[in-house]
Parts: sequence; structure tokens; C-alpha cells
Amino acid sequence: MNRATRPAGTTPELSIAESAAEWLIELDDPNTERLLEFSAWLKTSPQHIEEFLLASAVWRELDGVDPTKRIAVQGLIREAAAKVRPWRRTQLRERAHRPARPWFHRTVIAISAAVALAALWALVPGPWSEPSVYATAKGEQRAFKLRDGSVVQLNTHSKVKVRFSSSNRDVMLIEGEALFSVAHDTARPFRVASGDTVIQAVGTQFDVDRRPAGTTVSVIEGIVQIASGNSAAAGSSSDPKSLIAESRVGVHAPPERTLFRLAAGEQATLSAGGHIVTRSSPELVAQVVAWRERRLEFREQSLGQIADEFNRYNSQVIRIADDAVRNKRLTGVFDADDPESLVLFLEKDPHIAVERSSDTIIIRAK
Amino acid sequence: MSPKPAPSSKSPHRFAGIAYDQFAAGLHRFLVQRLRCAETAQDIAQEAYLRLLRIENTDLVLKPQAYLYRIARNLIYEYKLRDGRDPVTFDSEILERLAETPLQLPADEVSARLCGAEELEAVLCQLPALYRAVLILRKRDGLSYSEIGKALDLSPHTVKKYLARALAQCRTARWDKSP
Repeated sequence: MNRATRPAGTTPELSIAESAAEWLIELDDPNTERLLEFSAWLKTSPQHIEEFLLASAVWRELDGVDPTKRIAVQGLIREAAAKVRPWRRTQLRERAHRPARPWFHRTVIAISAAVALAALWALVPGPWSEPSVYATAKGEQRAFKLRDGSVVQLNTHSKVKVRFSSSNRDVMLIEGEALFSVAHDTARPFRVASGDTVIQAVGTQFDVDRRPAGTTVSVIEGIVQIASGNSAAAGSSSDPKSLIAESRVGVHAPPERTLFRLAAGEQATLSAGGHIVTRSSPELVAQVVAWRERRLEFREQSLGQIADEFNRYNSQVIRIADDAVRNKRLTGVFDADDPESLVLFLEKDPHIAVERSSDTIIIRAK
Repeated sequence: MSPKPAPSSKSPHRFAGIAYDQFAAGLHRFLVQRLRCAETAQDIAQEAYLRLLRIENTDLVLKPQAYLYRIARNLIYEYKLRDGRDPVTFDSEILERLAETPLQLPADEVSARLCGAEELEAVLCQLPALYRAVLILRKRDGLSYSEIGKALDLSPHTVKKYLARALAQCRTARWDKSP
């Protein structure tokens, strides 16, 4: 029983650990019919019992995995696909002198290979790689790592198109909101186009929120340069190649019409036509990106704005029936996925009545 | 519509069986600590084994997992008493409350879990991406095996295999990191 005396390099408990894990997963399925078999397995030896208990502990521990939902599953699937080629080769060699392991199921390999082809398509090198589009559905958030190491975190119902070349890193925010953590690369400016507004950074972190009325840029770290108007963006073409017109030309060429620079802690809102609407230093710009933790923070904001914000994330729509209620101001922090938390809060207000149906929450004055 | 409980209730617990609820605070914490102190747990496994053999087979096969957890919990309780260590981390009242509202964990388990979170994250990073994906979909997003299968274009059987491999690797990595 003393593990210390086992020869180095042998791990006889590993296979029991693996079966313990398989049993735990099997029993996690409430419809399992293999209880008799499992009882027999448990009775095989104390080690089986020990490993099963340990597997249970780790399995339970995994309940707390990634509480802030930062891990993007789609990214993992892509990563898995990208690794398929070397993995297959190793596996074929292994097969020559070992029995096939059941989890290398043929269909899995076929599917993985198909996904790998798709991934390779996205990685085709060249002066201009094909643009990649990343998007989230309503209520979904995801982070994507770009080839230069920069990370784009997409908020709910958002879409970006990314195109890198040897001299530029261009991103078009087609809709929604994204937080960019830009890898430092002075030779290749990182530019984000949102409608008529172009935000350029070298290495920094900033949030861009595109709404029908305009674009809000919040800088968390470093400095960005903002250009706007028709000279910065060639119309509303959906192709970043033409959208940021001077990208092909100069390595350091700034957008033609630099309006201003925005530093860490600053925020600016630009209208759809490229005019500055507001420029401010909110108390804490970091609050702007509270969405990453699926929190919605409001300070003295109208119930109308708050409802709009919840409606970005949920299929259950909050409607406000009268103006007096719509203009009521609230401060609070909520779970973006849980409009019910807002409703519970509002129900404490004696002047507000809440009606619910399966797909709508109606808020009116009492 | 009845009010939803706290947001964290959207955890995968809703798929778990009764046995899982019984795998409550004291036992979990003990086993996590055990990753640092191997010998006591071997004793406990030994003793649990002997007690398990004494159970009528017909009873055992009905709920083997629940039986095992109950035996282990009792043993840990006895062990702590004998050892004169600070008192009882197993508390049947807590367990009963947990069975009703499995998510209101005692504060010390919450903190123990937070401490483990970083180590766990390090372990996760070593897993192949596909294993991580199935694990996240199951444990964080609470999808069933067939839902995961649909999402990843795998059979539920393959999903189970990947999950088991991921779990085994997590467990082994946790073990190896311990002195």
C-alpha cells in the first residue's frame, strides 16, 4: 500500500483511477442500468473504493469550474481541431502495437479531421488572409484569441470580422460590444472600425460598444487614437479591407482624420455620423466591462435603460408600460442572465406592479 | 412563475442524483485534504471496503454510490473523534439541509473550494482542448451527455469517455502535485 516504495515511472493506480472516473461518469447518468456491475467493481479492492471517492471529490470540485464563464468552448473546439493532425499520426503509430482504444472511435476521428480542415482554412497564410468572423448569440459571451495573441471578448449578440496582414491588424465591429486586449506590436497597428469610427491602438485594452445611435469607446489601459467620419472609413462596406482604406499603404500610417486621443480611464461616445457626443472620465471605467462577469451595474440609470440592457441578454423581454416608471432611476448590480433578480427588486417598490407571462415581464405603475 | 432562487442555482446540480447530494461537505473537504495526506484515506478506504462487504448484496446494488458515501462519511466522523482533532466536520443537520438546498454550502467549504479553484484551473490547462470543452459544457453549463454530443457532433458514449478521461487526468494531476 505504500506508494513511496513503488518503482519510479510506474503508476499502477492510474488504471484504477481511470475506471473510477468512468464509473463516476456512468453513474452521473440517472438512467444507468449498471449498478450491479458497479457494486461488483467496488467490492474488488480497497483501492477501487479509494479511487472512486477521490474521483468523486475531484468531480464535485469541478462544479466550481470557471464561475465567471471566461472559457470559450468554441475556442477549445477550434483548438482541438487544430491539433488533430499530429495527434492522428501518433495514434496510427500506436495502433501498430496496441489494441485500439475505444475512445478513438472512427467517427470522432472523421469529424475531427473535418473540423481541422475548417480550422486550416482560417489559418491560410498570405498577404491578406480571408477575414474570420466571430459572433455570439443573444445571452452568449465568448472570448477569442487572435493569431497575434490579442484577445477579443464578445458580449451578447455581437459580431466582429477580423483580418490581419503583415502591416495591419484590422477588426470590424459589425454589431454589439467587444473588449479588446491588444498584444503589443508597433509594426502592426490594431484598428477597430465601428461604423464611421476607427479606433487605433498599439498595445492596450479597450471596450467598444456599438449601438444604433453611435459607438462608445472606453479605454481601460494605454492610449487609443480615434478617427471618424467618411475619410476614416470608406462607407459602410462590410469588408475591412476597404473599410480601413489606408491599411495597405503604410506601416505606421494613422487614419487620415485623427480626431483625438483617448487615455486610460476615459470614455467617449460618437454619433453614427462620427461626431463626438460625450467625452468623460467615468468614476471607474472598469465598470464598463462588468459584462464580462455577466453582471449588469447601474448607477442612477433609468428603468428604461435598465430594461434595454437586460433585453440584450434574455429572450424573456422586459416591457415598461408607462413613462413615469420608465424614467424612474435605479442603482444596483444584477445578474445579466436573470431578469427575475430585477423583478424581485422592483416588487419591493410599493409604486410598481409587475405582470409576468412566459416570454414577457411587464412593469407598470400601481 | 415562481421566483428563481439565487443565480448560482443554475449549476449542474440539477442533473445529479440523490447519491451526489449525499456526497456532502465533510466528505468532500476531507478527500480534498487527503490529496495532501495519503495514509488516513487509505485507512478509511480499507475500512470502508470491509464494511461494504458486510452489506447485503441486494441492498448494495440498489444504491451502491449512496451507500459508499454514507460509509465513508461515518468513518471520517469516527476517525475525527478518535483522533481528537477539532471537532466534527460532518454534521448530519448540515447534510440534511444540503439535501434540500444543495447549494447553500457551509462557509468553510466555500472557502476550501475557492482555494482549490486556482489549482484546478492549472490542472485544466494541461488537459487536451476537447476534454476541457466537454468538461466545461457538463460542469459549468450543465448540459446533458446527449446535449454535449449534439453540440460537438459526438455520440453520448464518446462524450462519456472524454469526460472520464478528463476527470481521471484532473484527479491524477491533483495527486501528483501533492507532497
